[in-house]
Formats: sequence, structure tokens, C-alpha cells
Amino acid sequence: MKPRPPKPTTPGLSRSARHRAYAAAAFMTILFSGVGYHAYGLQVTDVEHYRTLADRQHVRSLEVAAPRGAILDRRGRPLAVTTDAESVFVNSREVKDVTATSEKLAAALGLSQGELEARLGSGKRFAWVARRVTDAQAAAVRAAKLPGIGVTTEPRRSYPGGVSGGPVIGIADIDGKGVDGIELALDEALTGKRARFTAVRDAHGKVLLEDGLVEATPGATVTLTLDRTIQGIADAAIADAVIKNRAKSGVAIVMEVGTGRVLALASYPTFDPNAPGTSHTAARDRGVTDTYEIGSVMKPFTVATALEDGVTRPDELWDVEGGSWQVGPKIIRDVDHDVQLTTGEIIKRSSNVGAAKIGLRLGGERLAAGLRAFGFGKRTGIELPGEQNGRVRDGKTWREIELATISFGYGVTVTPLQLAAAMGAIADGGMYSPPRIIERIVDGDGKVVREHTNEKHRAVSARTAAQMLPILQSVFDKGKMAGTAGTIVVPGFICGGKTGTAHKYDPALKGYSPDRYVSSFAGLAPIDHPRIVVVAVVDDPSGGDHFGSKVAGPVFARVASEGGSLIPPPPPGAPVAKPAAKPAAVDSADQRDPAPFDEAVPDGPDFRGLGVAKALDRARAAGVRVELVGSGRVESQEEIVDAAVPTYRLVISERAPRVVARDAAVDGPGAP
Amino acid sequence: MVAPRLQTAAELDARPAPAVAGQAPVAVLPERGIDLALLASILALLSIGTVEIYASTSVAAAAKYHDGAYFLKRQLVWLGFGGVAMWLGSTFDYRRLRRWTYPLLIVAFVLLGGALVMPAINGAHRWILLGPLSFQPVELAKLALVSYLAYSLAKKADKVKTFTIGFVPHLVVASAMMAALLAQPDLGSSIILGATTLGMLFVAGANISYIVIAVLSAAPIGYQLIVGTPWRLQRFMAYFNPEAFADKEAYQFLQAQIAIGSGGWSGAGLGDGRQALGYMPEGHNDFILAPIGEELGYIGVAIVLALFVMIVWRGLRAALGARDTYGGYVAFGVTIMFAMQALFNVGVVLGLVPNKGLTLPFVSYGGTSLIMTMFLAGLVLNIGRRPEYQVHTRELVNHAKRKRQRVRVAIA
Repeated sequence: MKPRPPKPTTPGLSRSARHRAYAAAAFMTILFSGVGYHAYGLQVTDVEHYRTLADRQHVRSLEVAAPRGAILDRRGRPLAVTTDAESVFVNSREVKDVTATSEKLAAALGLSQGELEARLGSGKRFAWVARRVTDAQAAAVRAAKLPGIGVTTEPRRSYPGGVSGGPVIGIADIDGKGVDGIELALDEALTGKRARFTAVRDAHGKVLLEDGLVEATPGATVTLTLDRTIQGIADAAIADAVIKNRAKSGVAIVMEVGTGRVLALASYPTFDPNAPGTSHTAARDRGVTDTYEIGSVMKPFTVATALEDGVTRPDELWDVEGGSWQVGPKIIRDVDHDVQLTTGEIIKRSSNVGAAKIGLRLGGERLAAGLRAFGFGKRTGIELPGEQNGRVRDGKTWREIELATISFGYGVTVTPLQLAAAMGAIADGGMYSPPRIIERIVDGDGKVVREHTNEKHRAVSARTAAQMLPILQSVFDKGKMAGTAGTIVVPGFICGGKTGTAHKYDPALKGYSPDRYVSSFAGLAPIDHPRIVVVAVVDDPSGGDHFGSKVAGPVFARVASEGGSLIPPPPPGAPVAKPAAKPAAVDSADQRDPAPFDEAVPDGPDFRGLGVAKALDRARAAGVRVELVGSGRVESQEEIVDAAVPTYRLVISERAPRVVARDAAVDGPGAP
Repeated sequence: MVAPRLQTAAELDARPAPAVAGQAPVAVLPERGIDLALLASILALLSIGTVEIYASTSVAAAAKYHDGAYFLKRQLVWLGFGGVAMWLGSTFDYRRLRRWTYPLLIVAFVLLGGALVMPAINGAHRWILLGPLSFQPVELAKLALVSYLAYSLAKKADKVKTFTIGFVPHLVVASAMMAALLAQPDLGSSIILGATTLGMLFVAGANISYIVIAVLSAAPIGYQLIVGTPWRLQRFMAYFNPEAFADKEAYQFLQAQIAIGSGGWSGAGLGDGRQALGYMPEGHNDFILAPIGEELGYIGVAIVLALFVMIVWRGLRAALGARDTYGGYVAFGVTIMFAMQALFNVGVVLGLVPNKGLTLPFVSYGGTSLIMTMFLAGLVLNIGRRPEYQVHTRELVNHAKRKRQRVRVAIA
């Protein structure tokens, strides 16, 4: 029998090997599935945990400081601006050769090499080497190309006016925080909004901006009612007066009539906010922060109240007792020894006896109400820190002697600003305009967030005010029956005003000092259509003169004469407003022809020759960004090529020639 | 007389070859084409790897070499060489490899020894340096060991079940190779070779208890290796307490966890991974799965794992369909080696096993490892194809062997 042929087999692996191979493959598959399951837990279940860890190392929150807003005068001239200053820093981990680097830096920056070596060898990733260096120093450091040494820009606050207006404008500290004056009062608006955003950080700590840089909202631009030129005049005048009369301090205030705009608020001593660190404790806005028993300057308000209440007429004759009159236990004395004076002459000759008699006829309550109507005894609400109330006590409680002395300005305290505002009410037909110093606030987006509005109210009737003006004018009368300000000459203007010479209260004597005074003057100009009110107060003159006419009068004369010419008369029929909107002839020194520039006119906006504020305006109008270096006017400009937004770097210098408006549309009609 | 009917190829193929002298007839198997599913899986892994290498290195490369595509370009060059190697592997007669098994084994040992006397790179003697080129002998060793085991297991057939003939000699050769690798030191490759050896012995029919004994006897050696080597102990400790070693040993691991864990379902998107910003210096290398997980999410990771599972099963198909036992074992050995290495690599990145320093086959950045991996993949494709040299009877096989020549015989 033929054997049955064996069953054919396939080549290769045996049957059992196949089974085991399947088992092995299945085992592998299970392992892969297990790994996949683990990955699921890691990636899907625990994703939040790992995203938190990832963000912790990848994401860095950044803050970009907003450029602090500029403070401008009413014509847009800079009073405080922020420019870029360059600072040198070191990443000491990247410094290769500490000694050589220190040597080069010391030469470039003029610093001590030993100190630099310590800083460069600190091992820190960031340390300042020198802050706010000059352009030349920064360029030298850049050119040296030292590893680990970098130059960055930091904002620097500069005050082109220097000492002029120092206490009003105030100062911002090195971190850009307002500590005084307008800088403090409007700190929030000026600061702007920091840009907060997140960026990605790489493993070496370098920050990458995937979504571009978020721009900070720049601080608001604050336009003050101050006029830099008038402020300068007032500063100079009060400084001269204080120094000449060896006085302790002084205040000069210029206010626009009918609007309440403060054109100048000068105090002496002042300080230069550009030189931080200099002590300026004595330098404060004495016009608002200090109160004075101001004396005779208050008489016009007593008289105006009496006229308003109809208790007297301007031409009523008063027996002024030869200049000496006993009220209760005290004797009231005048400087002169007039026998009879009209109501008007009481002011002209500054008779204390006359004023006391008017006051006694009025009674305490009515006089107190009258003084309050002129704004005494409460804050004016000006946008400055530290304003004082002044003190006008309740008229009902006044004793007779108090009523008598209050009538000529003792027993009440006032701030010079209150005095200016009250005088402004007489100048404006009886309408009291609260003094204001902020013209406009334009926020970082170009939106006007606040604009000066005058909420004036009636203090006395137009008739009373009209009666008061000739009386105030008569104070300047010369001749035999001369007014107390008869010696004062105000070139170019016929003025009205009132002198004040008050004995200072001496706490040591528990009474008024016989030889220490506060000399003051409050006046308006011109008399027929008053445009400005000027108040000057000089505290404690010790140079021989102490009469208001001798000490404070010249300040008034100078400020009213020089400053008054800068305030144009209102056009017929138009309300007194917005002097900034009219072309004005300003400091002739600046009225130079545009200097010819040798370079070709650049493409795009031309900033050369413009002041900082103008340049900023023009940049905003042209939709470009600018970086400012230095202070003064734009000397040269340079387009930064690789910037996302067209950006120009403007080098600003005090020496740059001024350019009179080339581009009216941008410069606006207010361009000087 | 009726003229003989011409038989179709299918009919011829299905017909058993005539038995010769009482031998069992050998079935004729039809030739298959290239396994497209396997090829596609390999190409998919290569593509994912190349894209992620670019995504995870472009930032660092731009900073270091001023060319974001620095690693991409090099990877493409490696892929070019790898493509040639894969083509060669899939077309040559793999049976020649069988004849070269012992020379290959000897060369592998010589090179492993040579690497030990070469200067160390990063503290390890893993490279043979030839001027600008460097070569890791472990890559050749992998091929040599698999070929040796396949040859030996195929030859010994049923005797594999015996301990002395079937088990010990293979373990001795494998252990010698592993010892050489440990001396480099390269614990990772050593474990992969050991696991591959045990896998092949298992399939060949070795007693499972022997395998268990082998693993258990390796345990004290492993313990000694870990505790006796300070850096390895550190790595091991880091594995159990990563936070304490966050700056050093566990840095890569922790960063990989953050990368992969933050991926979520669909990831940050290609090129948007933030870990590439210098946090993962080895992101294109051993830790390539981390940027994949971060940028492509769980979906990406799952696809990579699925592709490896695909390679396992298509490799198995190649092994089972091989025309000869040697080819079957080679295909299986290579497949299991790929799978082991992938599992270990993924396990390291996911934090399942301590850091081993193994690349992810096909996916990690180039080098000789990629070329050899692609050659081995070509070999699997080759074996799966059932090469056209058809020897129909055992007699003819023996004849061919005697003559040491290739015989091409038409179906009679």
C-alpha cells in the first residue's frame, strides 16, 4: 500500500512559533494601549495641571509704564514734559571681562572704576550702571559694544520753566509720581494707564512678544490757564520785591477778569523742579496754602457790602475823628489825620476809623455775609493741593471791637487767591468767578475729559461794582489828597486797586507786632474794562519800607503793566473768553524768522524747530509716534526705520532755532 | 493525443511541488507586493518626526546657527541616506545576510570593543569616529544579533526547547553583547537587545520558565548597575522624585511632562509649542514625543502609538508569511525590537520608566540610528514580499546550499 503523502507544510515559522508570535504581538499591543491610556490621563485628564505649570514658566506679565502727560500753559507751551533719557544697565552674567568692561565704562561715563567693578561682578541679571546719562555718554557706551552692557530709555520729567512756576507745577518724583503742585493734584490723570499684558518667555528669560507690544495709554495732557510769560513776569517781580525788601516770602497772582482763569500764581521762595533733591520746604503755593490777616486791602469789600446794602453812598461824608477813635477799650488809629472823608475817600486814604464806622453801621451779620459773598472764608475750589479756607467767623458772635477791626481787615484771614477772586468780582460788574487753573485735560486718546467752565455767580450788584471802580481808581490819585497808591505808576494802564499794610500777629507778644508787617496790594487793570486782577503780598519785609504801596505796589505795577499788555481786550460784543484762541504777540525775543535749514525737507511730518507740545500735536495729527530726547525745541529728526508704527526720534535742544508756524492746520491759531 | 494544457500561474503556484525521495512536499507561495500598509506607517512616522523636528528646533537653531531650518535640512539629508538604505534592505536577497551572520557578529563585537577604546563623548564610549563621521556600533550590533538569533533558531528548530542547546548559547551571545553595551555605558540599548532576545526565544518555543529565570537572574545585575553607578542612581532617584531633581537629572523629564501634559486633546498647533523656546534642548531627539504631544495633542500621540501598533502587526504578517524560517525570525526580531524601543522611549517621555536615552524609531532626529532603522524596516518589507527566488524542494535547497550559489528554477 502506497504510503499516504505527508500533509504539505508552509515554509518559514512553525505552527507553534506562529501562535507564540501572535501572542507576542498581542502583548505588545496591550503595552501600547497601556501607554496610550497613560498618555490620555496626562494629556486630557490632567491638562489643566500641566497648563498651569507651562504658563508658570512661559508666561510673563509685563507692564509698560505710560508716558506721563505733559503740562502746558494756556498757549500750549510746555511747563512739564516727559522726554526719554537714556540709562545704562548691566546683565552681569553676560559680562565677559569685568575689569576691561569697567575700565571702558568708567571712561565713557566718568564713574569710578572700583564701584563699577563691584556692580558688574554682582552676578545679577539686571542692575543700573548709570541712569539718565547724556546722549553723548549713551552713544559712547553703545559704540563700545560691551557684552552684558545695555542702554535703554527711561522717561525723564523736565520742566522747561525752571524756577518759574515751580511750586504751582510741582514735581514728580523719579518714579513719575506727583508729589507737589499740579503734578500731585492731577497725578491720576497725568499718570495714564500702564499697559498690562502677558508675553511669552523663553528658557533663557528672553521675552517674546507674540502679539506685539501693547501700548500704554499715555497720561493726559493738562493745559493750565497759566501763561508762561506772565508767570515769568510775576515770578521775577515777586522775587525782586522779596529780595529787595528782605522779606520772608511773597505771592503774586494774576487772574483773568470774567473767567476766573489764573494766569500766574507766583510764590517766592520757589524751587527748580529740574533739580530734585534740593530742599523746597519753604517753596509752596503760598497763594492758596497760606492765609494772612491782610489788613486794609479788605476795606473795599467792607465798603462794597455797605453800598450793596444801601447803608451808605459813595459820597457820604464821614467824621474820621482826626485819625484816632476809641472803640471800647481800644483806640483805632489812621496813618493820616484826616478829619472828614467821603466813603470813597476812606478807601483812597485807607482810613481805619472810617472803615470801622462803616462796619459798625453795617453790623456783624451783614458784614460777614458780605465778605462771604466775595468768597472769603471758604475754599475757592482751585485745582491745587493744600488750599486753605481762611477764617471769617460767624458775624453774630463778633464783639464791637471785632466788628470794627474786621472792617479794615484784622480778625479775618484770607488767602491771596481769595483776595484776587474777590477783586475779580468787583472788576467783572459784581460777578464772582471762582478761580481756576486748569484750562483743559485731554486724555491719552485725544479725548477732552475736562474743560474750563466758569460758573460765576453774583457777589454784588453791577451798580455797586460800578460805584467801586472809580473809588479804586482814586487810590492812585496824586496831589495833596493823594491816594495811598499815589506813588505807583503803571505804564500803559489806568488801574484801580487798594494797598494793605497789616501788622503781623506775634504769638510771643500775644498781640500785633509793632514793626512786623504784611504788605499787600490788590488791583485791577485797565480801569474802564478790567481784564486782569493782580494781587501781590509780601510777608514780613524788613528792608525799611513796609507800606503796601512801597513794597507790594511795585510788584503790582510791574506785573499789571507787562502782563496786562499780553491780555488782549475782548472783541466788541464777544464774551471774555479763550484768549488762547487768538494770536498774541508774545516775548519778542522769540519772534525770530525761521532759521534756514540746510537739510532737505524730510518726507512725512517735519518737526524741526517746534516746541515739545507742538511736536506732539503734529505727531498726533500725522498719526506717527515720536521719541523725544532732551528738552527745548526740536533740533533734528530721524525716522526709526524698523518700527511697527512710523516713529521719529526727535533730538531736542535749547539751542534749536524756533520755527514760526509753517503748517497752520497743525499748529493752530494759537501758535505764537 | 491531447496537447498539454498550459497552466495558469495561480494553478502552478497552488500546486505542491513534487515530493522528492519521500520528503514532504513544500507548498509554493505566490510572491507578494511590497506591504503598502507597513510602508505607509513607516512613512507617516518619518513625516511626523521630520515636521516636529523642524517645529521643535527652529527657534533654537535660528538662535544658535542663524538658520531655523538647520536641523530640518540635516534631517532631510539623513532621510535621503535612510531612503537608500531602506531601498537596499527591501531589494537585496536577505538570504545573503544569513550567510554573513557570523562575520557580521564578529565585526559587531570588534566594533563594540573598538568604541570602548575611542575617546568618550559626553562620558560614553558609544561612537566610532571616522573623521567627520561618527557611527554607533550598537546599530550594527542590533542587526548582527537578530540575524544570529534567527539563523541559530531556524537551524536548531525543535532543539530550541532544550535548555543547553536552545537557550544557553543564545543567551551567552546576547549577554556578551549586552555587557559590551553596558561598558559604554548604554543601558537602554542593552535592555532593548535583551528584551528582543527573550522575545525571539519565546517565539521559537523556549520554555517560559527559562525566560522567567533569565529575567530574575538579570535583576541583581540591574540593581548593582543602578546602585553602583552614581549618575544612574541619580537618574533612578529622579524618576521617583522628579521635583527634587528639577534642575538636573529630571529637567528633561519634567519639561517633557509639561510639554506633553499641556497639549490637551488637539494640542497647541504645529509650530505653536512654547516648550520649543529653549525649554527642551533634546526635544528633537529622545524626547520627540513631547513636542508631538504639545503641538498635536493627545490625537498626535495616539496616532504615533497606533502607527507603532500597525508596524507590530504588519511586521508579524511579514514574519508569518516569510518563505523561510530565518526570514521569519529576522522579520519578527526586527519588529519586536522596534516595538520595544518605541515602548521604552514613550515610557520615558510619559514618565513610566526612568530615563534610558533611547530614540523613538523613525521619529527622532537622524543619525546612523535612523539609517539603520530604515534599513531594518526595508528588510522587513523585503521578507514580507517573499522574494522571487523560489526553491521548490528540499533537495534543491540542499543543492543550492552545497553549490553556494543561487538557483533559479522554473516550475516543472
